[in-house]
Amino acid sequence: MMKIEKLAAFILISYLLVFSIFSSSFGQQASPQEKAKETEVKKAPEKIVPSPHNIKEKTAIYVFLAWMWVSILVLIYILRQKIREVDRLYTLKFLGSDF
Amino acid sequence: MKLEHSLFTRRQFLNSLFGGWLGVLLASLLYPVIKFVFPPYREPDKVILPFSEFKDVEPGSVKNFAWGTKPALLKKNGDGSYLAFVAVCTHLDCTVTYLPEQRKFFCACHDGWYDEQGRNIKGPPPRPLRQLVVAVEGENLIIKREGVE
Amino acid sequence: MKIKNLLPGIGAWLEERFGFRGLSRFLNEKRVPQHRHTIWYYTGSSILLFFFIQVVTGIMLAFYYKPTIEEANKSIARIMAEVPLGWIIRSVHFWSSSFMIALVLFHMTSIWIIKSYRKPRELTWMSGVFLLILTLFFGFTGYLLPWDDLSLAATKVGTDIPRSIPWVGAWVTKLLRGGEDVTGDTLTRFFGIHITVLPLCLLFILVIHIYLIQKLGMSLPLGLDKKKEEVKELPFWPNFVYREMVVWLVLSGILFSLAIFLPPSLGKEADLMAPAPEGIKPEWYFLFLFQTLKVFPSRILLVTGDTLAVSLLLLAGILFFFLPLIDYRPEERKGKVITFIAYFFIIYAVVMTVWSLVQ
Repeated sequence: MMKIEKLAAFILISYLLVFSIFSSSFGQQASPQEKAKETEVKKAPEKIVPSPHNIKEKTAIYVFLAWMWVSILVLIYILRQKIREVDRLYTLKFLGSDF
Repeated sequence: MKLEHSLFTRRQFLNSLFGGWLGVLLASLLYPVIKFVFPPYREPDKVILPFSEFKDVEPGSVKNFAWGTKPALLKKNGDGSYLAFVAVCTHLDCTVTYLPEQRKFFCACHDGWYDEQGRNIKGPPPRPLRQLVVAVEGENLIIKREGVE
Repeated sequence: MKIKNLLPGIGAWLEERFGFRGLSRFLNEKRVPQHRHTIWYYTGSSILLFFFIQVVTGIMLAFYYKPTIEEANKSIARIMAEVPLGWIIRSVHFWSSSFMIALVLFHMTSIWIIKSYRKPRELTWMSGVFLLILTLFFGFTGYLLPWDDLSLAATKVGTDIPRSIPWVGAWVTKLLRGGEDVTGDTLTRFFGIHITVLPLCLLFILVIHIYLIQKLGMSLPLGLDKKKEEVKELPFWPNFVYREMVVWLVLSGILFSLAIFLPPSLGKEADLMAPAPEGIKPEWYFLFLFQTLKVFPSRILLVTGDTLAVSLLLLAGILFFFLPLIDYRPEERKGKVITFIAYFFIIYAVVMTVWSLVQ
């Protein structure tokens, strides 16, 4: 890619990545409205932050994430092998269709 | 190309490995979807009601209360004791009512009848009404599932 | 019938009735050119992947969400606290929307820069502009649904902006809000639009967009289209699709990881009578527009700053829509100016977004 396109792509990628990661904290911050002196008892919490409910769920989530990434790496490895194979077959002009 | 002594070709092996692993990954993604779509239904172990709301019930008549998300009926017998039933017809889940003159529970949906003990006597209901255990403790009426301490 | 012959047997039975042969022959013959800009070809299918994820998670959320002002916030709190793994489903829906919009912006900018909209692909571009608008509308309507104080404030501001459009402005605002002000009617309206109108419109225009792409083939960047014979090509199936699958796997992995570690929170229920909370901001993809409106002075000559800004934005939008018809001589100077405008827009959007965040 030409230099300026590389720069544009880099700016675009970093902008979108950074701001999509941080948009969750920027977009949903609830600011406390305790400027007034009234002592209003707030029954509902200011903000609900979600999280796994118990340690069993927490471990299950970590196990799942590990399993997911391992699977993704395995599947990508197999896909790369398949890609090499079909590219090789294409350059050999082999037109069978048992993929 | 499959060798004589092989069960399958290298291509078949690779494709099955890929498909199989992808299938398992997608199935593991399906698990939270299923759990989400079928939330657990928890029936209460017991329900505590203020006795003051129920002590004026006439003998031989009923008053309804909530058993979790299901309707239920509290029946005061002639001798002053209480019976409680989950007012869900055992046929197809319609809510039953009590007819005091006939001393029977009646389900209007398909003409099902239960006697005053909740036993199915006429019509399509296959089983008696589910019974709950009633106890009066001080100011409260405690209604429990059968078998719960 | 042997088990081995079962699937092909069913395939043959269906083929007799549906006649897929033409479609499968087309897919087998479709070729994707290989050059230094091929990487941008991957953006399209990834957008579809995230749209699919949105539909699935959206349907699941709609099982429990209640679109009235009394229940909306509470139902989402329930999804997050009570429903098994509800917080993950909501988080995936939230993150996938950002991913989809980011990819749409990538896709659009890359097409703009490599000028794929040249004849005969003008309608592909124009249908794409509609798809962009629909996607942004998805984000805008979805943002109100939690009905917390931030989303209410953002919606009040967002539905007020069209008011500055000359002649039809007030009418547009009333249409969006279901009245003069943002009320419970706005919420139900936005929910209905979000789950029925927008998906149907998107699917309709998507079919046109994808049909045109298949019919006209993949475009070549400027310069290469004159040397078509020299360009290497890959079969779409299976070579290019396998490569796309790698991209889908990586993107989905990043999506789920972000969704689990950075789930969105829920603010407290909106109060229609309360003053606007501090620090309201729209979603990140609207920040540059938000900042642009902020920098315009409140009055310029005879018109308000808002009217001028919105009119300028509308004009820019219209020019953007007709870009293929404007840039019909891309190799020449006008074409180069338009490429420069594309880069300028990227830098402008980034700078305005950063500025609005640090303020």
